[in-house]
Order: sequence, then structure tokens, then C-alpha cells
Amino acid sequence: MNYYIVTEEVFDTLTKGNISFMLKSIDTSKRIVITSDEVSNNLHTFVNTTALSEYTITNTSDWVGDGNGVEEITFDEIKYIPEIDD
Amino acid sequence: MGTTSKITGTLATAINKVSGTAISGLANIMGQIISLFTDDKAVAKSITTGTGQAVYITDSDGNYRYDHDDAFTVSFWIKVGWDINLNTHFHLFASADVSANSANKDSFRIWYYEPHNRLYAEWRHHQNHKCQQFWLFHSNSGVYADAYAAAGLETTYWNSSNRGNANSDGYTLITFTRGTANTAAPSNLKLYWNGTDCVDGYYSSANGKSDGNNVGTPAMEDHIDKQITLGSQAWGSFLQSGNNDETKFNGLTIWDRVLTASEVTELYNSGTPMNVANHSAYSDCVGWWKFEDNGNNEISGGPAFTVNGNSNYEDK
Repeated sequence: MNYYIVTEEVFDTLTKGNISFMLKSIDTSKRIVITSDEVSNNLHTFVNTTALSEYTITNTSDWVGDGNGVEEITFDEIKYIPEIDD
Repeated sequence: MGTTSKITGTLATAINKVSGTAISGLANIMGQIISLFTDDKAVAKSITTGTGQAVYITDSDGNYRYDHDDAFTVSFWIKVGWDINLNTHFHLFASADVSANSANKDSFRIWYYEPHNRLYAEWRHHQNHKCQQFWLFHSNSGVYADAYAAAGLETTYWNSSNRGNANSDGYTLITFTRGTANTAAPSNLKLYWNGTDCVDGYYSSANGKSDGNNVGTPAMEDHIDKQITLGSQAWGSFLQSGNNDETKFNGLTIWDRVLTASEVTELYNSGTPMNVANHSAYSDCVGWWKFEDNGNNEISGGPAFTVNGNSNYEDK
């Protein structure tokens, strides 16, 4: 899998069926995306969910409203379902 | 109602200590039925995280060792405090082994994931051995229509500005029932919003999915005491407690069997927290916490909640 932060505009071009996790930033301008596709025009790329989680803890105000970051377990637990999550 | 509201001071204290058969006489004075049940307070879970801010029980005498094949019901009133910027999950109710360091320690949990407006229930003993289900509330079509109608949130997600179908104090009664089968199938796991059955969750054959998101075979040990939390995880440092305003809880009950739909309706009591001692299934209630300025368990011998840090008892 591949782990990215992309803009809203780039997210809209991705193949939704290949995305297993998606989280909008609080201001909705960006998306954390875990996908089987490779995305070249990304804002950030991460090697795994551990690095991704650590990024959200460091930049928590962009991503989580309670100051705790995104726990690593969340990336596995919360499956993106295009028909109900867009 | 008579003039009981005028009874104050030491006389009121004395009346509160009256118990047993005498209480029946007091409750019927001059032909007027007087309710001595009060419901003025709730417990407010601080948005500050950590064990030192937790609302929790550390049981030590085996009261709540529910495992994967024990039937039970959990019900509580909740007044949501988080806002639209929460963007993460909030554990409403959770239990796990005492001193658990992760959700993989025989946990049962009910949590809300705000980014997708989903209310989850799950039990597990390992990341590859779990049963999970969720309901969502913003789609008025297909299997989602029942939960949509029950919650009344319309297409906006659940938060302090949109509590949906709630009573006049802003509280919703959330009730989960789970049967003895080791599956999160709709036939075994039910969610009621107030007294209304939300029917099929996402993982249901009615939705074209497997009945329950069942991974492996949870085999929870039932010989270890549990810690129970409201408003945070029940393991590690009890993280995730919302944002914005404190979320309040009231009238938590645990029952050692599946309550029927009519019994849940009875518990909902048209939106007024009831004197659970008068519930028709009260003999099967194994835990009842009113949070009237303390965490005491109304069921004799049952453990009390401890309320720490900035969490406290407040007017509901």
C-alpha cells in the first residue's frame, strides 16, 4: 500500500475503489489517503502507517480536533467506503 | 405532586435514608404518589485525556467479566459535547481487562467515528480476532434508512450542534444488546437510538455484505476483572475524550441478558430517565449508576465509578 497526503483536487482524480483509508483535514483542503495506486502529485508520502501517525501527532491541529493525532490502529480499523463517505 | 419540594435540611436527609417497607408508606402520603427518585446530575467527562482525567471502574470482584459468548445489554444517556472539528473517534463506553495496554485485551467498546458519522460496536482479544459492526446516520436509503430515522440527525453528522433525536435536556439514550453468538451479525447485535431499533448495520446481508465484520474467532478470557470507562478508551492511558465541550453521561445500566425491544422502549420512558428499580426487567440489571453527585452503583455490592481530574458531576 501507499501512504499520502494529497490536495482535495488530486483526491478527486483518484480511483476510489483502490483507497482503503481517507481522512479529510479539518479545513477539508487536504486528504490522508492509503491506496494501492501510486500518486506522484502528492504533498507528502510516508513509508508506513507508523510514520503517518507520527506526522498527524506533530501536525495535530491540521488533522485532529482533540490534540491526540491519528492512532495507527485507526488506519486499519476505519475502511473508506466511497458510496457513503464522500 | 404534594409539597415534598419544600422539605429541606436535616429532614430531607433523614427521608433519603429511609429504606425498606417504610419507603412505600412515604411514597403514598394523603393519597398522593410521591416519587423519591431524583435525576438532577450527570457525569461530565473532561476533554482532557489520560488516566488522571478518567471516568472509570476498576472492578476487583468479578462483576462484569463478560466474554465473547455472554449475553448482555449496555445502555446510557449521552449529551454530546464534541463539535464538527473533532475529526477522530470518541469512545462512549469501553471495557477491557484491568491494566490493559491495548484494545486487544478482551475489550468491548462502543465508539463514534466523527469523520464518517459511524457508531461502532466491537469485541476482540486480538487484532485478527474481533467482531465489529457499525451504523451510520446520514443516508436515508437502503439499510441505512432505519438508523437515519432513529437518530434524526438528517445529513449532518452527530455533534453538539446537531444532537438529533434527543430529549429536552439534550440527551439521547444509546442501547446496545448482544446475544450469546460470537458474531456482530444484526441478529446478535442491536443498536437502539432512544427506543428505536436502528436495525441493520453496514455489515449485513441486507446490505449485500457479510453479516457482521467477523475476523477470526474472538476468545475472550472471563477470569480477569474488567475496567470500564465512559468517554475514553479503557486501556493504556485512556485516550481520546472529544473536543469543544465535555460530553455528559447519565443513567448507565448493564443487564446480564438481551433486553427486548419493548424493554428498551420501557427504559427510554418517553425520554425521561426512569427509576430503573421500577423497570420490569430490573432483576436482570447488574449495574446501575445514576451519577447523582457520586459514582455509586445502585445494585447492591456492585463497584462504583471513580471520577478523576477535571471530570466531575454537574447539573445534567
